[in-house]
Amino acid sequence: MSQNSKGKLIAKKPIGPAKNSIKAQATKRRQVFRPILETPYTDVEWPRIEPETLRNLLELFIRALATYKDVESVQSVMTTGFNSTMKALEDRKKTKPENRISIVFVCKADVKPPLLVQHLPVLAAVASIESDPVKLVQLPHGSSAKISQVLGIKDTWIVGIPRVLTMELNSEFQVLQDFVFESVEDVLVPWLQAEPEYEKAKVKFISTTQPIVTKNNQKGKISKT
Amino acid sequence: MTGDHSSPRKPKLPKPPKQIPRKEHHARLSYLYQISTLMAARSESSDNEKDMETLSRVYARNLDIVSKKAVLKLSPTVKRSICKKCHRRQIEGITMSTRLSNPSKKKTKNNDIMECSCKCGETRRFPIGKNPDFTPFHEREDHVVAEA
Repeated sequence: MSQNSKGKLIAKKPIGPAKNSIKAQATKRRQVFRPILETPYTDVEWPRIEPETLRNLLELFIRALATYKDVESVQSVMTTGFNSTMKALEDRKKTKPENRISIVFVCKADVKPPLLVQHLPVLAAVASIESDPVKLVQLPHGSSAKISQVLGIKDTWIVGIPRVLTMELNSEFQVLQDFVFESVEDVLVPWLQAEPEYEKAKVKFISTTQPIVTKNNQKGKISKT
Repeated sequence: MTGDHSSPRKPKLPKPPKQIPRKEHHARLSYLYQISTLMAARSESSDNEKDMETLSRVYARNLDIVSKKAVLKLSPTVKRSICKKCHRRQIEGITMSTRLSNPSKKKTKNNDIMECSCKCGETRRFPIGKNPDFTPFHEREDHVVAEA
């Protein structure tokens, strides 16, 4: 720090310990590799859908959604928000079979950050009952805008469709459900099964730096000479 | 500018190790993690639900203690999947639930918070709206060198 003619403080460029001082030596760092223990499980994969099937699926889905005209009627039959869908999936085993959500559409590519949708496969697998699985459908990039426009609800990226919708006279949803159950596989989480296999420990190496500590230059200790 | 990192006689970067240092400890922790997961997953369907859950928590707690004693670093994925308070293994739909909340008055998007709450009531909050492009260090490709 120094003072200029008006007496104001100005920071001079080299701040920090002087060269060859003890402090400078203490701050010297070398590159090291730190092991960190990663989950032994591989990431749960979302059910894969062929691009062409997906295109047809999206079209069917939007056509089915278009049968509802106003927002209130939409929200009374299906879940269009994150929280409501999560709640419906968590309570799925306790609800009546006809009210259970059977298909969840997620605009995975449009959601940021991906942390928000990371847990969905596990949740869908947990909520599934053997005879009554939950189908998880990931929609392509840009589908969020289309769905929001059709439904009239801003920023919709997740839609849960309950059984009732497909059992009623609504033929569009009937077609949609048949198509989804035919073309989309169930979510499979290997480590949630009854007898999962033992996985080897997985360790990642992270490149970081470490201060160089020498015998007569230990942190906090100044050698007496 | 002398004595900088950018000086031309910068030493060659060391190569990452091929073997896992202190493999036994890592293997033990990994095993504890898996068995804790297994017990947590079974707790839902089995008759003695409470016992299974307790077992799961015991293993997860051991994992935590051993990692501290042996000074091993756990990846955030592992750490986040165990409750800080009750050591329940966090499995979506069984021991944990996720919600989005927005405490701001105007409901601006950058105040979105993801709340992961454990069965015991403990909540982890992730301010995901702040920086949607954020990736934690263990997922950044330039940081993670190798896997073994």
